[in-house]
Amino acid sequence: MVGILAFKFEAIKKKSLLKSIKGITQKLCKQHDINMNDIGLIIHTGTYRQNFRQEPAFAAHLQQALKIGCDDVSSTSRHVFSFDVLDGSCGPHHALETIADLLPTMDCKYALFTAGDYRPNKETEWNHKPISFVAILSKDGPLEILGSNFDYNQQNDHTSTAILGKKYHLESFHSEPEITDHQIEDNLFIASSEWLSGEQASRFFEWAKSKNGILTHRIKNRNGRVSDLRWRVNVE
Amino acid sequence: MSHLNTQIRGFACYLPPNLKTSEETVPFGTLPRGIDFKRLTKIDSHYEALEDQGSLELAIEAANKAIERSGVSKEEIDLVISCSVTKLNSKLQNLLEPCLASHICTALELDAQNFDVANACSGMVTGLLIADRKIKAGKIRNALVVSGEYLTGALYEALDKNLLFNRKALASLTIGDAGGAYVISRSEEDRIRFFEPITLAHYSKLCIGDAAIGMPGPAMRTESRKLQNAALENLGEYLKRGIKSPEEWSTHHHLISHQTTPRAVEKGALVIQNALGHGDAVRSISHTGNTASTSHTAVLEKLLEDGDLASNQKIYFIAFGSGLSLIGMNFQVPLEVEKW
Repeated sequence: MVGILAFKFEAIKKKSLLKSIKGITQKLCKQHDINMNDIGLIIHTGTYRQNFRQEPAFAAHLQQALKIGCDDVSSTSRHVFSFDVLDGSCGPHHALETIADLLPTMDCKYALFTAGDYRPNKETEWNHKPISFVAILSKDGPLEILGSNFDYNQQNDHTSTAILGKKYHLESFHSEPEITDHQIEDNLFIASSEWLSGEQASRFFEWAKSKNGILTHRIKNRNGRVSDLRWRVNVE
Repeated sequence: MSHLNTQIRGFACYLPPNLKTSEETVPFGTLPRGIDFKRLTKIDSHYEALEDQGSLELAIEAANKAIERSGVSKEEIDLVISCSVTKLNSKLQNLLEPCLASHICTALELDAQNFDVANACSGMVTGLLIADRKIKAGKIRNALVVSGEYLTGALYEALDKNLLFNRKALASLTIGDAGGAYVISRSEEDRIRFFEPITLAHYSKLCIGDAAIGMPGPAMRTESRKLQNAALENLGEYLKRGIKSPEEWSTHHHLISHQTTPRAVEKGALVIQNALGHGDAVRSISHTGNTASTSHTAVLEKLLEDGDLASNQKIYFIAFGSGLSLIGMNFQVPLEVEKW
C-alpha cells in the first residue's frame, strides 16, 4: 500500500510557487536522506497558476527546476513522469489517489506530490495566503492511503472563471459559494472550503501525524463537492 | 498484482461543422519571407467551434458518440477524466473551478468520480493510463476519458501579431478545434499495454500556453523547431526501450503519433523506419490541424470513416506533449467496430 514517507510545507509569501516548492522539496529530501534521483513520478495539484497557464503541467516545470530525469532517452537513461491532477480544493485527494494507483506499477522508489497556488497576475483580486506543500510517497510509507469516496449530490452552481479584464484575465464568480467551516469530529477531519490545495494538505497532515488509526480527510469545496480520503496512520 | 484486464470499448472524435481551409485562414503573404503555410505544414484545413460551442460542448459531443458506440450504459461509468488543455466556454472564458470533468458529468447526467488531468497534448493518453490502473486495481468498472479542445482562439491571437517579430506564435496557426473521447473497460483478455511514460523536462519551456494578454482566450508560444527536434531525436530510442524486436513492432496495423503537422508526422515516420522499420504503417491526417490532446481520436475517426479499421487490429499510439512528455500505448481495436 502506498503511503506518505515525509512531508513539508511553508507559506509562499512573496516567492514564486516554483521556487517555494523546489526549495522545500530539496530540504525535505536532505532531511530524510532521500535521493531525489529515486523519484520517478511527480504529480502537482492546485487551482491558480501564473497567468492562468494551461500548458505544460506545473509538475514538468518543477521536474526541470529539480534537475531530475533531465537526460535524453538512451538504453540506460532514468526518467520521471510529471503531470497535474486538478479539481479545485478537492484536487489533493485525486492527485494522491492517482499516485497510489500508478506508483506500484512504476519502476521507481518514490513519487513526489506537490500542492500550491499562485496569484495569476497583479490585476486579479486575490485574498488567499497560499501555502506550498510537498510529500514523498513510497510503496510502504507510514501514512497509508486506504481509499476514497466522492459525493456530488449537493453540488451547486458556484463556478469560478477567468475572464478578460482591461488587459489581463481576472477571476469571476457565478452564484454564491457554500462555505464550510473547519471542524474535527473524532477521526474525521473536515476542512474549510476556503483553504486552497496547499493548506488542505498541510493542515490535515499536521493534525494526522501525531494520531494513529484510521482517519478521514473530508474536503467540501465551495460548490458543494464532497471528497473523502481515508488513511491508516502510524499503525505497525 | 490483480489479474483484471482492460480494453478500449468505444472511441469517438467530434469535429464541429465549420471547416476552414488553410488558404482562407493563413493566405499566402501572412507568413514572413514569402513562406507558404500550406506547403510548409501540409495542413489542408481545420475545423472551428460554432458560436455556442466551447471546450465543454466539444467534449460532450464526442463523449455521447463514444458511450453509444461502447454499449456501456451511463450507470456503469464510475470515473470521468477530462484531459483538455483548454477549459474554455463558448465566450473564451477559462473554467477554473469546479473541474471541467464536473461540468461534463452534469451535462451527461453521469454520477461518477471526476477530475481533470493537465498534461498538454499527452493528456488523453495520461488519462487512459490512470483509468487503466484504476480498473486493474478493481476500483472501477468503466471510465470515460474525454477532452474538448477549443483552441482556435490562440490561432486568431497569433494572426493578430506581427509574425516577423513573434516567431514563437507561428505554431498557433496549425491548430484546430475538436472533441475526443474513449470508454475504457474491464476485459477478459488484456487488450491494452502502456509503455514507460516519461517527461523530458529539460524541454519544458519550449511550448507555453497562457491566457492571452489584451484579448479573451489563450495564447501559445512555441519554439517549434527546437521542440520538434527534441521529440524526433528521442523517438527512436524511446520506441526501442519498449519494443523488443522489429517483428513485435510489425504486429501493429496502424502507428498513430500526435498530429502536429503532416510534415512533422512524415519526419517521425522516417525516424520510426530507421529505428524499427514499418514506417509505412504511420498514419497522418491533413484536414484537422493540430487538435492537441484529441489528435489521436481524429486519426482513429478518419480510419473508421475510410473503412480501414477492423476488430482486433493492433494500434500503437505515441503521445507527445509540451513538457516534453512521451507516452506509448498499444491497444486492440474494439470488437464490433465494423457495426459502428
